[in-house]
Amino acid sequence: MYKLIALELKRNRLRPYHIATLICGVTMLGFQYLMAAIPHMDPTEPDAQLFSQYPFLTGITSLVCMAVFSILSAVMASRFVVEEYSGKRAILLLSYPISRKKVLWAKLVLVLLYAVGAMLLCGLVVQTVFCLTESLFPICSDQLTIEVILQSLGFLLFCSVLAGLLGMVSLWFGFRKKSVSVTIVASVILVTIVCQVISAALLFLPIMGIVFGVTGIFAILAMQNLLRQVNNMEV
Amino acid sequence: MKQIVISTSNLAKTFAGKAVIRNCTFSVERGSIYGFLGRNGAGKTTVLKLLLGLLKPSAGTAAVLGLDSARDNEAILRRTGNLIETPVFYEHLPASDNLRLHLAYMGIEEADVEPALCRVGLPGTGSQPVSTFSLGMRQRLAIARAIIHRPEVLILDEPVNGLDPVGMKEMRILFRRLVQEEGMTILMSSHLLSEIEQIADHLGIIADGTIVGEAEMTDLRKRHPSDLEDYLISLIQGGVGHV
Repeated sequence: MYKLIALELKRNRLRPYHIATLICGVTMLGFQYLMAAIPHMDPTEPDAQLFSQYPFLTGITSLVCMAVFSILSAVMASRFVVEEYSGKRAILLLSYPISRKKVLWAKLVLVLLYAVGAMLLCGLVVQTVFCLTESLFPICSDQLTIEVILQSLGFLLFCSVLAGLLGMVSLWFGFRKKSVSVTIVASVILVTIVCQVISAALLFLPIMGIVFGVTGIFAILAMQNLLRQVNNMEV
Repeated sequence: MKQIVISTSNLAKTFAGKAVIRNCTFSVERGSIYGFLGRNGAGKTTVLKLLLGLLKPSAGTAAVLGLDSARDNEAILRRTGNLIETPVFYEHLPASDNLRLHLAYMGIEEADVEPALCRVGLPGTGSQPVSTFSLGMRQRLAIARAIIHRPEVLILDEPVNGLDPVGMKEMRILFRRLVQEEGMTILMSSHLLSEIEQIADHLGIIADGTIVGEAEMTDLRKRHPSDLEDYLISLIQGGVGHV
């Protein structure tokens, strides 16, 4: 499996995804500062005070980050999977004397790990920079404690894994139609629904658990179905 | 006794209810060049794909090196080299990296790719991205990819497409050498009568998805010294009969 992933990395360019991750990181950092500044813009607005609380602030940033990275994951999945199993490229890929399932597994694992890893890294950098500047020039009125930091990190991990899983589910839709655009549109629709549900119950564990469980089950079913489709594929 | 390395028996393939291949039966002897001749759309590529296990037969069997194409296609792909339809490459990568990747997927590490490039007339082009290659260079590179892992059998679909007359002759010489010096068996399809006529030891003619004739080229030349081309054209056009 490791060798197959290494071969995927050799023949596909990851540089555009690295750049996209960097841009997302900078944008998310700006977004978090902007939201932290909302209570100062209109101190009379009671709802705006929510943005001065760290759990809410980091939670919203992680949620937006999840939306961005699940779309990035879908784009990556469509490049690595949909395009490679479409048209004449499929003949090349299926002409290798390696189990079709293993080749697809390598692709799925790579896309999933990249999406989760890139979002985690991006989120960690954003939160670290924000926490450092908060300790020097605080914008929020809230107290930054170890408990708050751990809670933010936990939610970041949750959102990162969810972004990767949503990418897998969108890939299933795109693969059915062998279309990159269908993959991306499916990803936008799915992430909109998931973000709506989570934001309505931000940091409420039972709802988050249900969303995670349902997405996880759909992602596993999608991956199993993709493996079956590729195994029986005729080109 | 000659050993059969490629064989099909009553092979059939149906797409959406339409029979593309029907009762296709032929065999290829070890160490020979078998020319598969037919018009565009006659079913040549489909038969080659069935042999490699890229398509599953609707009926009948196909075997390469004694292995069932539908069941053991990984083993077949490991022991054969192929060129099916228009060659596809990783365009942004240099030619040598494309060949190294192919070798890695074939389970061969650290091989020198330059000799293979030289064999197909592409010396010194290893560092060039494939995106800068002409149609003829791509075809040569595809042939290099098919032979670089020293397969026992070569299955080539229209291998001289896009080559100029010099390139066609060079590839003919290369294929003959592969058979004589390395004992390879070659099954190649073409719609170019002159090409098959010059290179093949055995000939199979496919029309409307079925083999309408099989013969040894030397016999054919003896029996049709002056009208071979016309005779073959009549078969290609669907005239069923014994060659």
